[in-house]
Amino acid sequence: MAGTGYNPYRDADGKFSRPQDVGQKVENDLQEAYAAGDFQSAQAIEAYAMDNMPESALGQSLLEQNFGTAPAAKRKELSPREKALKDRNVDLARQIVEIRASNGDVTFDDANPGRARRRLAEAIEYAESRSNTNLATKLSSAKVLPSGAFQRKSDKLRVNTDAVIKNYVAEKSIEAGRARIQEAIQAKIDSGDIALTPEKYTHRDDSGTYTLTIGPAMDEEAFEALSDSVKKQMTVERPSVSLDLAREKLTAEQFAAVTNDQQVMDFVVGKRPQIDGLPEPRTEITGADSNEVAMDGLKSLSSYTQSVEANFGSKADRAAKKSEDAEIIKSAVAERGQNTFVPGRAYANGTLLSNRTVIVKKQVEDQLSPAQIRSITVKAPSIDLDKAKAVLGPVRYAQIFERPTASFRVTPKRKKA
Amino acid sequence: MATQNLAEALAADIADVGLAELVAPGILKAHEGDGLAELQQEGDVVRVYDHSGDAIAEFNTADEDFNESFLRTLATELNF
Repeated sequence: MAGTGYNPYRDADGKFSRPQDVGQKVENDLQEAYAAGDFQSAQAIEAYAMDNMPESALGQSLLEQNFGTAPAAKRKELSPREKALKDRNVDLARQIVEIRASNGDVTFDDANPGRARRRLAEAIEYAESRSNTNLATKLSSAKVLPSGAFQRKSDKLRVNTDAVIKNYVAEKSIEAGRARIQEAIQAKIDSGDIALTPEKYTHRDDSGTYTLTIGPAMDEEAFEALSDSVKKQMTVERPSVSLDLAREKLTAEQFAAVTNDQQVMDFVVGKRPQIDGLPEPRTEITGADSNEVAMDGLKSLSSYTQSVEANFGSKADRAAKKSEDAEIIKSAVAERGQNTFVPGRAYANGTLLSNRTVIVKKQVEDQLSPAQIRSITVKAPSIDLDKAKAVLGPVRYAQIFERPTASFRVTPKRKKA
Repeated sequence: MATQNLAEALAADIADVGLAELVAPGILKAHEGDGLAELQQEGDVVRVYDHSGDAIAEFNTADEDFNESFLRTLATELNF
């Protein structure tokens, strides 16, 4: 971005502005530049689009023209194939727990019901010792599988809860290292070492595209630090449908029609596994100006990401393994229909699967009469941004609700087929 | 629907079914916790970014198991 001379966040007078749809503004500006025969500006805008919007249709199309990378889809109506995928997505999403249950027959390795019950008791004790009453309550009513190592009969896929927990802890540790780089960059933003414009910086290397975006976000800590009376002053009551009232007022058929069942997976890590090979992130971020500081931060992120991948595999491979393991565990538990603890072999370790029923607003609107909807509606407190601005004043409001905040976007280089 | 791509349509449907909350076109938030999934489309590929902004999966619409793989990834990221 730096040096292109184009910035969609500047209006015609050079003043900072925040367009509602930056991508659209860039496309419009490009069209206008070509229409006016201003090819120098058009070139600058195209450079901006390729650097800062590589995933957009415009960015992809320009990258394709200039570097031969894959073109992106233009916004258009869904094709028949896409419509079919969308319909199937809805069908599968509606029945996800039932589909898992029908596929959840497993054979256990190393089944040991006594040890499994001990792990559950230890897990409850651990949750209580951490004052995690919600987890302790769920564990207290849980069934327990005889082993956390099993094979799904339908596809012969195996899962081992100890390995799943180790991967979970490794991922959390990797994220913590990455967060340290993000915090270092955030400190530069807070101190003014990185100016707020341009708000997007991109670093590209052999491993992928790394983007730093600085945008407004809520400062959760500052919000939590507000007194209860101040929070109350910025709160309004908004209508909200209540699951409890729906259970009480609706017939079983109506309730089933407006709710959706899900499975929630929690990890209980009473004994933390040893994770070897975690790289140390570089958090000394330097540079003579905003651009250099941002680019140095992104280089640190790239280096950290590559070191992680060398020891733990690519993020995509890790995510795929995590999804496969979670799906096998959830399918094994789905047919049991209640809170279920899947024990690890290590002290107090395991995963807890619990059911969650969610009331679905769209289904409420589609399926119930206005009177029925009123009968299950309550007033729920909600923060009102206009009130917040009035109560806090514009400066304090901006500090809490629009804090300039760093976020990353990492897109690995696509492997050639 | 005329200006909606497949990624945004899939995200909207996931929210309509109640599995997560739609916080912006193509962006889903878990009902509990910090789970987030941003869906983007490039041609025949739907890409999923996780809560930290990393691309974690790509799904080709031509793949036979597109729906199953896509939903399995979202189920893990959004804990449903």
